Amino acid sequence: MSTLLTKIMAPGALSTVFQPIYRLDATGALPVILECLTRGPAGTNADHAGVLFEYAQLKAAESQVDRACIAAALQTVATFDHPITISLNVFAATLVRDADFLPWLGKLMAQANLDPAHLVFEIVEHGEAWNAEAFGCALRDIRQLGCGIALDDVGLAHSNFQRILQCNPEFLKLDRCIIRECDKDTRRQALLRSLGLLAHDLGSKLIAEGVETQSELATVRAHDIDLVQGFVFSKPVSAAKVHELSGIARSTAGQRATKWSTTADESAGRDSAWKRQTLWDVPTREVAAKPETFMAATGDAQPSHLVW
Amino acid sequence: MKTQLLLVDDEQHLQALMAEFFSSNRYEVQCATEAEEAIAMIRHHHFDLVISDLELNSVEGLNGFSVLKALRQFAPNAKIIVYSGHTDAQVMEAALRHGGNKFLAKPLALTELLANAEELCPPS
Repeated sequence: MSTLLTKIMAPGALSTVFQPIYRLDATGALPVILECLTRGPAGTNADHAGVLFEYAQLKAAESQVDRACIAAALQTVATFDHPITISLNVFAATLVRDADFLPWLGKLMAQANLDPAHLVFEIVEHGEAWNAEAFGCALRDIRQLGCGIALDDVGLAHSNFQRILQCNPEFLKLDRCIIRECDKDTRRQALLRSLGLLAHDLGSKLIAEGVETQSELATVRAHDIDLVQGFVFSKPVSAAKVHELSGIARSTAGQRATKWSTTADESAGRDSAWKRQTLWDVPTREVAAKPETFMAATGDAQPSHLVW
Repeated sequence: MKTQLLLVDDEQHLQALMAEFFSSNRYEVQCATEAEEAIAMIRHHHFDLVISDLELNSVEGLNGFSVLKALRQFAPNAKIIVYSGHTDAQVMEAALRHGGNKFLAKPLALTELLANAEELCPPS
């Protein structure tokens, strides 16, 4: 019998879309990281991402599915014509149980010509089983590779304080359950304040994910969170759209001699040797001067979203 | 409004027959052939009714009882009909004790299955 897992693992079954993470400043928003999001085989129940990853966990096939998703993503990323900082989701279970995962990924990154400094691991953990020692070793290996770490779904299920202490992540991605209607809920605002203080003291940077409305965006901004992802700026886009936006950004950047760049550590407020180009090498002042050009290209958000 | 139905059976031929039958009787049908797939579907979609075989092949040891348990945990208001080739009293009692609304013995008659489904989720 052909199981869903067989269909997921079939060559070419998985596809990747990309959702930018934006950095806000006084005048606008600039994409700094591109999150790779997997879509399962069309026409199966796993074409819903939630079903795909829930199923992988229930089948104890996290590593198998993570590898397939990452291989599909990097195959697409390899077609991008200049450095883009990307983030890849990976189950903590994969890091713990799959001893060969990081060496395998290293080879794949080399084939894709992807500099480890342009990669952030978004660690997902909804399971209860935990092997702290194996996880710690994997984290050390990730850092030795030169990649960044984000803890995903903070505020949800098992992405708890223990994980934060273990991961010492550059980024804490606040789950949508905290962001949803935070503009109307003083309790959520209290959480944003507290998590902001925590992140500051730990030397991590908060990313608000699932920001959908102008009002949520303003609330997030008011709590000094300047890394934002969500429909308010852009839905996930196809690789073709990334190519198109890349072209637009390059043409608007023109012949300017000074390129604005950011590193993941700069985004995280850290001082290290990481050197990361901004997503589309767009100078800050160019984005600020012509926000309508950029936002029109992303499709969904209105230019006013960039005006503060 | 159509009743949202999840059919869970690892016999794909039987499942296809059931899907066609219920689709032609005002049901919006989705199918799963493994317990893990069914549970993932229950976690991420809304269903009014689940009809599941209790015996599902799985190397992870999950079966129709796992589907029952997940439904009661994540969608307590949904109804579930389970069926089995094992009709001893212990199996039936266990199915109902774990939250099954109806227990049917194989072989199934589609008209009987529909009557039970409509009793649990009356046509609006």
